[in-house]
Amino acid sequence: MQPSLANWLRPRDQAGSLATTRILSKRILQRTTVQLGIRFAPPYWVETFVPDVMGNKPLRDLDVVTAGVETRPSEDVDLPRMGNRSPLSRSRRRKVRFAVGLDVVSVAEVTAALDRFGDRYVERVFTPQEAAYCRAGSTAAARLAVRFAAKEAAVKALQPAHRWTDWRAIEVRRHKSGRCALVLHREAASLASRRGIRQFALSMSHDGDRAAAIVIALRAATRRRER
Amino acid sequence: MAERITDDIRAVLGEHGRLAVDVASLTDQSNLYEAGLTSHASVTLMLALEERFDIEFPDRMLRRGAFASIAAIRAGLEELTGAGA
Repeated sequence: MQPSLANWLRPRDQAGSLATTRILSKRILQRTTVQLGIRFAPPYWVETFVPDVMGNKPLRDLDVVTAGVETRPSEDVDLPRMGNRSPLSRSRRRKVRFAVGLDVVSVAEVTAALDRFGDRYVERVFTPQEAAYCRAGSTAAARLAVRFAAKEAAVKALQPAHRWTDWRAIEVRRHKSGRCALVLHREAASLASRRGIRQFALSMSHDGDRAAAIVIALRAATRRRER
Repeated sequence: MAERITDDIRAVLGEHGRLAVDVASLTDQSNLYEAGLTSHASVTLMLALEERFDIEFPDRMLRRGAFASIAAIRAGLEELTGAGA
């Protein structure tokens, strides 16, 4: 059985520093390239690599693999179809187009912002629904921090041409089941539309002083015919 | 006047910017994002500057990189307060 990429994300790594995240990302990328039999060009070799953290699926079912850098647009990567075929086979390929964003926020910084600026801070960054949910719990700062991380991760996936300012246009909506998803408004929604993004996958986590979020934006998928 | 604004900006930046380097080591043109200003810190920096100068940054100003450097912050503040006129 192929190992699950998510199993390589050990708890201490998830809660670690950004440097740890990058080292971890590189390690996962190296393992993945061996497993998939694909080589990433040098620009891909550093920074953020995001495995399939959403579903904990085994590698053979992995349909999103990418590497990206904050300031560099994600690029299209051809992925070999897995299963019975050799990972090295180039005969049939599936082309997945995507963009990825990752962000880590200090819960202590959010706590300090809450103490210093109170409602002004919350109202400037979060929607009323987000604020109501976060304030209802005993871990308001952590909830807000992880949502800010999600917003920033979404911005990285959206790749706007300018500094993002409308943080409330990217909303983390929590469903009754506990599942959280991104809901975009205003410019964020129109930007996603222009980018051809059809779906977002969001994963958030907080532990101690660290809150982190990963966003995968999926665009159109095309399939090449076997020659 | 401009020097006083710059001093105030540096003071606020030192308190809220959470930069990776000492504010004193930055020139007015140094890129603050390269110096470690995060998106979250830029929000608290904005709130602190608004409080200090009793202004509100409009979106149009934020979008064009109002916090990219001390000089950019000063230009924005002067535009909002009329201090540079």
